[in-house]
Order: sequence, then structure tokens, then C-alpha cells
Amino acid sequence: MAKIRVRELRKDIPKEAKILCEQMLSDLEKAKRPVLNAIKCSLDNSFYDPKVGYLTPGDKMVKTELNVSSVQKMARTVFMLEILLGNIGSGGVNTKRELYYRSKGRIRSEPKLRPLDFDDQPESDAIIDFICDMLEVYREEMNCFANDRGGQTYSENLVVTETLPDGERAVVDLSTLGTTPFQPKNKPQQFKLKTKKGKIDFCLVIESEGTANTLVANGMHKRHNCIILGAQGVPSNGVRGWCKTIQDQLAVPMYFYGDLDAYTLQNIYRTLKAGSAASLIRNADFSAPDVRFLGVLPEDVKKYDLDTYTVNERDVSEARSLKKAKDALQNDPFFQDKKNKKLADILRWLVKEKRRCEQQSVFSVAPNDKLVLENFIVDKINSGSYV
Amino acid sequence: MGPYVFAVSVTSPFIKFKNASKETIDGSDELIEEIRRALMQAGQKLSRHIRAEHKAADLERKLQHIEKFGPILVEGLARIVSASKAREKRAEEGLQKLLGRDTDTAEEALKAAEERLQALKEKEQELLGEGYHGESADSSASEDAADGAAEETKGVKASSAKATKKTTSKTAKTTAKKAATTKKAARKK
Repeated sequence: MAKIRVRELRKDIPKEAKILCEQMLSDLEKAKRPVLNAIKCSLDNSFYDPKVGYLTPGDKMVKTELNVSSVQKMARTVFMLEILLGNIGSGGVNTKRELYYRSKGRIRSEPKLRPLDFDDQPESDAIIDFICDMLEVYREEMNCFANDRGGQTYSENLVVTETLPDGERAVVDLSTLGTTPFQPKNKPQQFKLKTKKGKIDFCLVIESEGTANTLVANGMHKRHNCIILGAQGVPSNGVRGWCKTIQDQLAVPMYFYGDLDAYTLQNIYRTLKAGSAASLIRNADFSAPDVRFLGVLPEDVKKYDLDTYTVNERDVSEARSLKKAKDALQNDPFFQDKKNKKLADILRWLVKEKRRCEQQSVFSVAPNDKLVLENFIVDKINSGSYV
Repeated sequence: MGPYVFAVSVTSPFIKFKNASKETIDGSDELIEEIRRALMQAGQKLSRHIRAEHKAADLERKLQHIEKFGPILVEGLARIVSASKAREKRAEEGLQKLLGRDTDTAEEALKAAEERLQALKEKEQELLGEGYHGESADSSASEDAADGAAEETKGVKASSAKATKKTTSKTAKTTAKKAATTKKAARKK
């Protein structure tokens, strides 16, 4: 089976894992405490260099030394590592959820393993992430792929060639799919992209999948030489990898269009553009630094008299996202960087005004014009009204 | 750990407010200060009990952890590196030694907490003298701390009941005296 590669990895994962286990076992034989070191994936260990374009990890490490409190985590790590190594050996692939259920099944059927039982999926996910951070490899390189979510893509000028695990090739011409979207699946790095004719003008990533579908239903992708992509909220690894693939292979201008609120800016757009603190070791291949923020911008609210409403601070999630925005301005290296000053200014405006504007508010500007959003977006792109 | 309720019983040989019911308590600063101090003392005693209980639970948890996860960890590692049974056994022994050190620390902490609790009980017995029939002095340190706490509560209850009884009988005597004095005064009139 041809191995699906996300990047050129020079590491022999089974060999590295065995060396690690060998070290742990010999430490135990000597009654010495084994120590596991993993990269600290958090904001306080994140660095942003505009030349690099995405968040990178610093020197901080998470050290797990064997003691009574950590013995459970270590036992779970070794248990999960064994399953993952088995998958690598056989070429098998599993999602995180599948690994959770596989573990659960094995643990429940073997009474001796009962103490390892995971209460819920986040517990097993954390162990998988720890293994990846420890070995400094991507989850995909451990043959663990995320579930497909988001990334529905439409274009009249895009042809995708997919290399299948058995080495065969599948060619998908997106213009022949009608209103059916092309879903990049969770392994977009294996795609080879080319245009049918000339160069594509722009790629539009829409926060709401429904709004992306509406634009397509109204025929935007036929009138413009573009790619329309629905992110479906916080971009999944698939969407992030897919945007990176489009950026690298087609070199087209990329724009993100979403709500004007703190959550969209710092959770959705920042993750798409520069990756996240939780996935520091993966950001290089799972972020598209060239994506620009098309809107909704505070100036659009004024210019088009868009409907806005006050953030309800009594609502727990809205209050939390406002608090997170304040924190981001103080601690997030992405928003602190000079290059992203305009984005930080938008965040400051949101914190100060405590107002938000939905991406769909543009429809209310001319309710009888079905092309109002399309014209709004194209006007903004042509006039350079983006950050 | 649930919430704790402290009940304060105030008894007096005097009826201070003649126009109010006999349950009426004087809100003087002196009385409030006394109640505050009594509650602080009770809280300190309770915290020692709770600490001892915590230490015992911690030790139990650590012992359980070793029994549960130790063999799984070693077996998993041995399977991954295809280690021999002899290596596996050596690693298991090493692990027992390592985690044993952790439990030794927990055992020492538990012992210290129990000693402090025992010292407090002895001091209390000295202060209260023979009339105090609280927890017996020979209760061993290894005894379950929760039971100890329950027993001591019983002891305090018993002693306070006795004290209340004494005060009540005193009050009765005083009231009788007062009544006799009043009668005498009336006769004189």
C-alpha cells in the first residue's frame, strides 16, 4: 500500500517509539523513574513570526516523571502507543473516535486492563495528542485521521487528482459535479491540483457552509473564475490542510468571509491563517498564512448600514469569547505582532463596542436582490477592502 | 465531603429578660466573642480530623494505583520491545520500589497527622479532667480516623449534656432560692 504522506518525514516512528519504550523499561529495571518529554502545546509556548506565517513552538517542554499520580497516564500512553504501532505496522488507519472505541472494547473485554478505561473520548484524545507531541509527529503520521468535517468546495475551473492508498489515481473535475460539492476528506495533502484553463482569480473561504451553498445556488462560481469553500465553523484539520494545499499549489489570492465577532476572528480566522496553540507542531502543514480577512469589517457596518446587535454579556459563551478576546490582545503572539495590527484593532473595536454583525446581515441591505452578497464580496475584493 | 453544621448551645442560670421568652439570648459583645472562640476551636479540631482522613485516603489511593497500573505499564512496555520475562520481572520489582517510596512519604504524612490528632485529644482530656468521657486514650493511631471523629463527637456530646444537666440543676436551685427570698419579702410586707 502506498503510504499517504502529509510531509517528508525522516523519522522512523516505530523505531523511535521502541527506543523510548526500551529506555523506560531499562529505567524501571534500575528502579529509576522514567521521564517522558513532550513539547508544550499552549499559548505561552507559542511564537509568531510574520515571515514564517504560523504559530511555532518554543523551548518549553512538558515533563512527565513516573510517580503514583502519573502512573495511570504512562500506562495509558503505552497502551495506546501499542495500538498505534500496530496500525503503522499493518497499514491500518483509524480516526480518534475509532481508537477510543477500540480501546474501550479491548479494556472492557480484558479485566486486567479495566483500570485504564477512558470515561469519555477527550481522555483518549489527550493521550493520542500526548504521544504525538512526545514523538513530535503528526497524528496523520501515526495513521490516525480526523473525521471529515467542512471544506465543501465548488469551482468551474478546478481539477483534483487524488492518489489512492493502493497507488491508483482518481481525477475529479469539479465543474462536472453540478451542485454537489467536492469534499477534500481528511487527507488533502495527497491531492494534486490544476486549473482547466488559465489561472483562478480568487479562492473564497466562507465561515458558514450554508452561506457558501447559497452563493453557489445563485451561480457565483459560474460568473466568477473562483473557488468557493465552506469552512463550517472552526476549520477542521481537513479544511486547514486543504486551504494550505490550494495556497501552495495554485498560488491564488485567498479571502476569508465570516461574522464580525471575537470568536470568528480569534478562533476561526486565526486558526485558518496561523494555526492554533494546541497544534503547534502541526501548524506548518495545517495553516494557510496567505488567507486575508475580507469581512465583515467594522467599516462595512458603517458603509452599508449593516444590522448589528449588542453582545449579550449574560450569555456564558458570548461573555467567555469577549473575555478571551481581551486575553488574546494581551497574550496571543499573533494579535500582538505588528503585521496583524489591523486585526488586533478589529478585536479592540469588538471589545470596546460590544457589538457583533452576522455575515448574513448583508442580505438585508437589498432584500430583493439575490446577488447582493456576491456583489458585496466582489466589490470588496476589487476595491481592496480587506485586512 | 459534605457541609458541616455547628450547633451552639447557650445556657445560663439567670433569666435576663423578664418580659421576653426564656430562650432569648443577650447579644452582648462578650457572649459573641465567646461563641466565636468556641467555634474557632471546634473548627481547628475538625480540620485535624479531616486532614488525617485525607492522608489516609491519599495513601489508600496510592496503594491502589500501584497495584492497578504497575503491571499493565510494565507488560505493555515489555510487549513493545519484545523483552524477556526476566526483564519484565526486574522492571516490575523496580517499579514497586519506586512507587513504594511514594507511599512511604504518604505513610509518613499520615502518621504525622494522626500523631497531631492524638496529641490534641490527650491535651483535651487533660483540660477536661476525669469528667470527660470522650474517646478512650488507648485508641490506636491506625484506627479509622472517621470512626475516631464520630466517637469524639459522641464524647463531646455526652460531656456537654452532662454540663447542661449540671447547669440546669443549678438554675433550678437558684430559682428556688429566688422564689423563697421573694416569699420572705412578701411576708415581711
